Amino acid sequence: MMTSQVEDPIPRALASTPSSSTSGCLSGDDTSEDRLLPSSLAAEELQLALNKEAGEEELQKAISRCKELVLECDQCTPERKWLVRHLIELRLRLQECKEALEDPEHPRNKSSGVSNRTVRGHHLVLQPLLRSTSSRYCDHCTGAIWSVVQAWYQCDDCGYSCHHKCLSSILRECAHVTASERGGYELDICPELGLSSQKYMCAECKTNIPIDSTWSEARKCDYTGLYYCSACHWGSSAVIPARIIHNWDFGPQPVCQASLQLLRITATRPLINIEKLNPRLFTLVHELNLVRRLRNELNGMRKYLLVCRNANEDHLLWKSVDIPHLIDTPGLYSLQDLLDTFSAELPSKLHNIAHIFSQHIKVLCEVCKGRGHICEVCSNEEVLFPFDANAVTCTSCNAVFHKSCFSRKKNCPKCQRLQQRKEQEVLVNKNDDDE
Amino acid sequence: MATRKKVLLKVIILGDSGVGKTSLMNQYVNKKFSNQYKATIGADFLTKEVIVDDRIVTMQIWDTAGQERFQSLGVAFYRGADCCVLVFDVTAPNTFKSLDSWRDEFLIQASPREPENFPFVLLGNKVDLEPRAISSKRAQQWCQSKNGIPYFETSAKEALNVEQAFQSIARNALTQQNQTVDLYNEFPDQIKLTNTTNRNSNGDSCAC
Repeated sequence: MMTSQVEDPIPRALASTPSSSTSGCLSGDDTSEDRLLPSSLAAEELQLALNKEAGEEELQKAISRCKELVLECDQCTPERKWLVRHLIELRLRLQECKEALEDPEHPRNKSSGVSNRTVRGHHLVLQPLLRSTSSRYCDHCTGAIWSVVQAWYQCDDCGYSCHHKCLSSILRECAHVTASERGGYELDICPELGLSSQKYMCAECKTNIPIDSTWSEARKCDYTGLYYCSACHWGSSAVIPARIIHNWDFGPQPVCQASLQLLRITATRPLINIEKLNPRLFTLVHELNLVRRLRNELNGMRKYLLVCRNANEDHLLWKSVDIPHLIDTPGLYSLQDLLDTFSAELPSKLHNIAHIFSQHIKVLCEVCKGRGHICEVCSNEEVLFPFDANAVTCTSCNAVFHKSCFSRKKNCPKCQRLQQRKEQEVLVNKNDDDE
Repeated sequence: MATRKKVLLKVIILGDSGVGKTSLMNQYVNKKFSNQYKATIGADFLTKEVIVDDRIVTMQIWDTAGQERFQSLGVAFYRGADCCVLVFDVTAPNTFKSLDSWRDEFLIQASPREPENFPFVLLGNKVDLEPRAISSKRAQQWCQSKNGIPYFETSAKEALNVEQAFQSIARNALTQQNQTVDLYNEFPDQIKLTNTTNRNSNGDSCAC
């Protein structure tokens, strides 16, 4: 029962018959964009190695061919980038192939037929039939995937799903690749240029979008600011990073499928440096300021726990922190962190961790307690830690004082002492030489 | 009365990096030695029970980092120390020269009651190595100038003099602790300014 899908009216870059003219014309169209596969890579023989369960010999051949192509093309071009990516892929396949030969239990030997495919950075895995009856739609042709009878694939990295028959014509690059390539989010709120700049074509599949038509509307993606056809933009909505950073606005906005997948897989990655992008946000949003303070405090405590053998034995850091970047890199926020800050979940969570940590450092652990500081200025018996709110650390000698004590002194007493000692040493050395 | 109580002696080992502070402690506590150098991070302690003058005492020996880059971690553990062990390498003259600054820094951070009489012990380590750069005489002279600090020449590798040195350290630490206890006991008749005594005098022996 094959559902008849809407036939694609335009030629795809990876058409099953890759005549040099089609691929050439497509890549010629978008020389400035690195979204499209280079024509050299689109060649059947190169793809072949990844689309079939190729043998060792075949893979070796493909690797050497790919190497040649890498050398032929110019440096720092998107084409080269894709070729190198492909080369890595091939090498991984070869490794897998070798492992499968040695180990009869290897999953590659067990599955029958083609199970893994790599197209446009997607690592598509054949999904078992009859797995679920929940409705799922093909990211390529938008048709329903009847998982009971139709073979379908899903990308391990970004969740892109498609029919078996749509594999060869996938257009969207894997969101995982896009994310690692770009490194950060689009930071302008909906950077819109208008349909004219897109030549009245869908930004992803290049389908014509007539303005006067009633059956095919241009849909705007709030994240990219581009317009898409209804096949590439399903009217889903998502929270937009730029809107949060500039406006502290968490309202979901309509986004295209590609943006949705991108935002979904990057949601937990620490990519947003608010200190750099919009430091005023800390003064305007009380919760965010609280989160920053707690994270800095935790980062200071982390230094103690890292070198404490008792904490290491207890795996205190591992046990208490499920999101490592929260305390490892206190300046970076993930989209999820900001959402949790907005919902006031994060501050209370950080409070709990800070309590566990400070309990260890200041009460339970003899070693950590010993590694505290005592303010030299007031010589109070109170043990100070660099992460305490009332403590200040000398930037040159790392000595820690009470904030109030330090502000009374003009110079750091320890630095002064060190300086004096140095001068004395020079004098002594001089006398030694004279003798 | 104090003899029945469990005694904890806090000993701090100081000195430049690589003079063998950790090795000395390991040799004394675990009877082990390794040729491999591993910089100590921050500070850490080991404990050992010893018998000094028929008393069982627990020594808490704090091994410290000699390297400057690990000094950012604090030295609050200096407080309440009962004895400070200064270590230098007899084959490296610079480690001897910096003894003064280690001593000064300790006295400032620990701020003991009587800095002049605080018990230090000097250990010249690595005597198994040749050639020697600091003679025994020179080290002893330094000790004399510092109010007669006891001096031991040790080798953590050969376990030479280590036991004796720490035995002396424990004894010195113990006397220090007893002295501080005595200090408090110098005023045996405490004047209590509490209400209970006042009330008595108010009630019965009023002058008017």
